[in-house]
Amino acid sequence: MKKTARRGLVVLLLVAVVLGGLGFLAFKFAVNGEKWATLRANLHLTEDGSFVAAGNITDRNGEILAQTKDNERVYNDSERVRRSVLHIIGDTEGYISSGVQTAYKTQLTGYNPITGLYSLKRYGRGNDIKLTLDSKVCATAYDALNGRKGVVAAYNYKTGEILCSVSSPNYDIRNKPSEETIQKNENGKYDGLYMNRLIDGLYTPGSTFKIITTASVIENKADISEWQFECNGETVIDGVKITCPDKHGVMNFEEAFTKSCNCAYAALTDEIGKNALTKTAKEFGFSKEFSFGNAYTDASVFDLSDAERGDVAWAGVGQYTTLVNPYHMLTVLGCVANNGNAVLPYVVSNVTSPDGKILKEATAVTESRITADVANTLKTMMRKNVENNYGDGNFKGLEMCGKTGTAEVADGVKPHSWFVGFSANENCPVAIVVVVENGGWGSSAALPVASTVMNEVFKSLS
Amino acid sequence: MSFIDALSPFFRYLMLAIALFVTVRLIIALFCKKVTDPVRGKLINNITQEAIPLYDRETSLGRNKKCDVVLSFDTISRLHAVIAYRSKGFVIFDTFSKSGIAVNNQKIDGKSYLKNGDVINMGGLEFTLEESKYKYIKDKSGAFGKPSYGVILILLAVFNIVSLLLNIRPDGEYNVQVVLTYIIFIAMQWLYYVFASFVLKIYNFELEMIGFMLTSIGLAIIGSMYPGAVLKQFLAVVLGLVGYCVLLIILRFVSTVKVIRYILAAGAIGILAVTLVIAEPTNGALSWLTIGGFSIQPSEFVKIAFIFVGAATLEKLQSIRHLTMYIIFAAICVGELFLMYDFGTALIFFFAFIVIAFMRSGDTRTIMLICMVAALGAALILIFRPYVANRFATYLHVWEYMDEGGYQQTRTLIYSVSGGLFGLGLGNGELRNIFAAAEDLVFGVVCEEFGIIMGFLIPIVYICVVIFAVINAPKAKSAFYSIAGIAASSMMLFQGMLSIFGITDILPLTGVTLPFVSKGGSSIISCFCLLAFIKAIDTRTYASFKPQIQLKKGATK
Ligand SMILES: [Zn+2]
Repeated sequence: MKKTARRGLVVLLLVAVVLGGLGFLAFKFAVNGEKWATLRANLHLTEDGSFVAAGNITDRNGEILAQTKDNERVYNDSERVRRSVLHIIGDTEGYISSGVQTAYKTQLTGYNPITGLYSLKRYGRGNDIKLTLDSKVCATAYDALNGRKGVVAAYNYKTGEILCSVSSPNYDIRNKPSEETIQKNENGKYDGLYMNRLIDGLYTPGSTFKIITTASVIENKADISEWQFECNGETVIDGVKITCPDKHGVMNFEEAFTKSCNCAYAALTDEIGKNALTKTAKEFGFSKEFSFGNAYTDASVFDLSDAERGDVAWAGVGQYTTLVNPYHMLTVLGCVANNGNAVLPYVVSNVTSPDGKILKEATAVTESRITADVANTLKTMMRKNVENNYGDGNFKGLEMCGKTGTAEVADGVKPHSWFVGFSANENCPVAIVVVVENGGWGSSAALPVASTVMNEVFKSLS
Repeated sequence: MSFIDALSPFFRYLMLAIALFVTVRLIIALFCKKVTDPVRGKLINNITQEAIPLYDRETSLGRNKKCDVVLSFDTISRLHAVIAYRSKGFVIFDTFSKSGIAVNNQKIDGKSYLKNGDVINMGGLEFTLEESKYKYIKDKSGAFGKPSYGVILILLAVFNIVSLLLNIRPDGEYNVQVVLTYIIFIAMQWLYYVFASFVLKIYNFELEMIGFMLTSIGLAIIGSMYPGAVLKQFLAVVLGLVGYCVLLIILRFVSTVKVIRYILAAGAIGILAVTLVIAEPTNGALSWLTIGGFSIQPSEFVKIAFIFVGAATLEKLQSIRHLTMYIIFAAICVGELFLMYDFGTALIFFFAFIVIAFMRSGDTRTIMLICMVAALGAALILIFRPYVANRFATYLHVWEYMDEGGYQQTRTLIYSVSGGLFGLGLGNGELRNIFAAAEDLVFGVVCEEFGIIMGFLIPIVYICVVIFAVINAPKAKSAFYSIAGIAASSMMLFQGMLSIFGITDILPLTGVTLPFVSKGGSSIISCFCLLAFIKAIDTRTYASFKPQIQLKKGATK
């Protein structure tokens, strides 16, 4: 009897297997719960394959940008606003992967591993998200771009709040062009349609890179105040010809920056060398992916490992293989504007549950990059650049500091037009990046856009 | 209705709290029970005056070290005799010993009843039987081992009333039926409690109430998904409970069951054969018979016969030392299920067979051989019938085929996690709209609507029942109960495992029901019947039985 019964212990093997399996299942639930619960196949969230269970998305002033009404996702009434915030809000099908409606799906549905989708079931909608955007400024920026491809982004460099972010080309989410039309892409009209150029764009920086070169020169060349240079329109370094659009004549360092003289910067770059420049670029956050809410930016590229002296000189004036991400450029400006400390830009201000509880509040992250001395010297140079070069008339009352860029991209194609800058006015601590793709001169295409947007920002803040 | 809507967030916590309390309380009671193990008599060695105690359970005597009482003499056979304490008192069985057994100098033929003072001679050793005066087992369980069944029944009633409230719909076609069914279901639980106490003389109800609890979860879901099917499911519960009581009564007379074993074996093979021949294919399997509008799944009933035929008392085990007949019987049953393409059930039977065969013989080599033959057979089937393998093609690849072969599994996973730990509330799920939600996918429905805690509670309950069976098997009144109880409980756990892990893609999907919870009359009847085998392991179940001979003799002479 005892022997027979004791053989029954063998079924404890089954018990062990089942316990192991249950543990594994619990583990699978814990690890994948969020992913599975927010899948498009989950009919708690979707209607006809479209994500409708999300809460409201509002701008900084409470303007509703997206909401669910009668099981349908409804967007802002103004087409200008809808188009301007498209890439930040994202779509419901997930084509715009960095958009809030996709990247913040979990927060918008209110899913959490403890209560699942209960809050959604109970209140009929998920959590609300408040953005830092100002939809009016966004719409102004959209108008200013006037259908040209590119990106406009402005942020408060003291707090990190992104006030404006427009990526073009875009479409009206209420009347999305057919998939066929998009695929056809006549005249490249829809190039990178689903990409938010602020975080996924990479552009040749052109002269805007001189900000970094300038910082490196200040850091590495002690006698820079005595330095002088004569520009003849071209110079040759290690057999490589560097050219300027004009003969700039004799100038000191400050004037070289204002005139954006390629020859002068090539000579300076050659003098400090590639290691010094690479070090400074690293300090400024090149090669780094920044977290942007629940997504990541593309890292800016700066790689001189295989560069000859001539290549290094070109890199110093923002050409060669260097590519800059516009979000990263915002942080560079923020760093210069804010005594060398870059407050990283963000767009999601807070997440609130349907019963009004704040579930998540944005916290600013600050990166210390360069010394206050270097930053302030740069700031002065950029301020003078605007005063003497573009004129304060474009930025009334803003004490604007800035730099244009004209980035050569390929033969026979118009260069990308850049404007990067920030207001030194205490009441308007805002930095701006404008890229107009193939827009030509920085001062002719990007500068007017920046001027329009900054004036609107100033108006909205005062 | 708005009143109920307002309360529904509270209801989901209430239902979970009741389910947790009831199951945990009952499981604690199962593990904390304490009963005396009285010595029913002694065999006194006439020369040495050494006493061998005899208990309620069967005692084997022989030279072999495996015996309960080892008699190391050359004149004793390896497995010489078994002494059991049956309804008519002590019985000694000669298990084909070489030298035989004599009682009061009379050589016995097979078996002989014993009375106080009888002299037993085995291979030259002489013993005198001395019966004890103590007749009853005493329940010494503390507070933990003795739950208040009244409170548990009240909690079960609350649980069912809540599901009743949640399942009444404005203008619902079956509202009257649903309400009445739940009320009768509550009444049935109390009725059983009274009936079992007074007629069956049972005074502990943990297993039944665990069954009621799981059934209540299932009925809540069925009531909300198929209000028209609640009555049917409830009637199956009643039939199951009747079967449970009948089996308990039959199992009491363990020595007489051998007669019906042959009938059951033939019946099992027969009904499966009939099903195989006349069943119409349903969902790719031939496992359903439709009789007078009722669909029944004969394999569910064959489970009971399968265990009945497999289990055996100790004297049987000691005299029939080979498994041949049982192997043939099991092979036919499993083979028939295979031909029906009911692979899940075939696997469950095969598992039960392995457990029973091992407990009977301890013959690891034969069992390994059988497993190898079975694996070979399965491999041959996959080679010659490749479409069988297609059924399992999506295993571990469900997300790649999430709208084809992996549809049920991926939806189960998606909706299980959507419920979180506490669920979305009864009726608020989406999984219920997927094919076979109330049957095969019911674990997912429980997770989504009652919460993952409740979902995991169900297999934990099966596990605890298995452990209870294993712990109590050595003290069961007969090896028959030990084998049958362990086989039945582990069969239930195995089926639960196939069901839960199948739909969550941890194992291949075989489409079996979740014991006690899934919709399906045959399944629920069979579950309650299997419970009787587990109940029989517990020495308290038959403790109140008073052996007649003992009564007559005990004190008077
Ligand atoms: Zn020049």
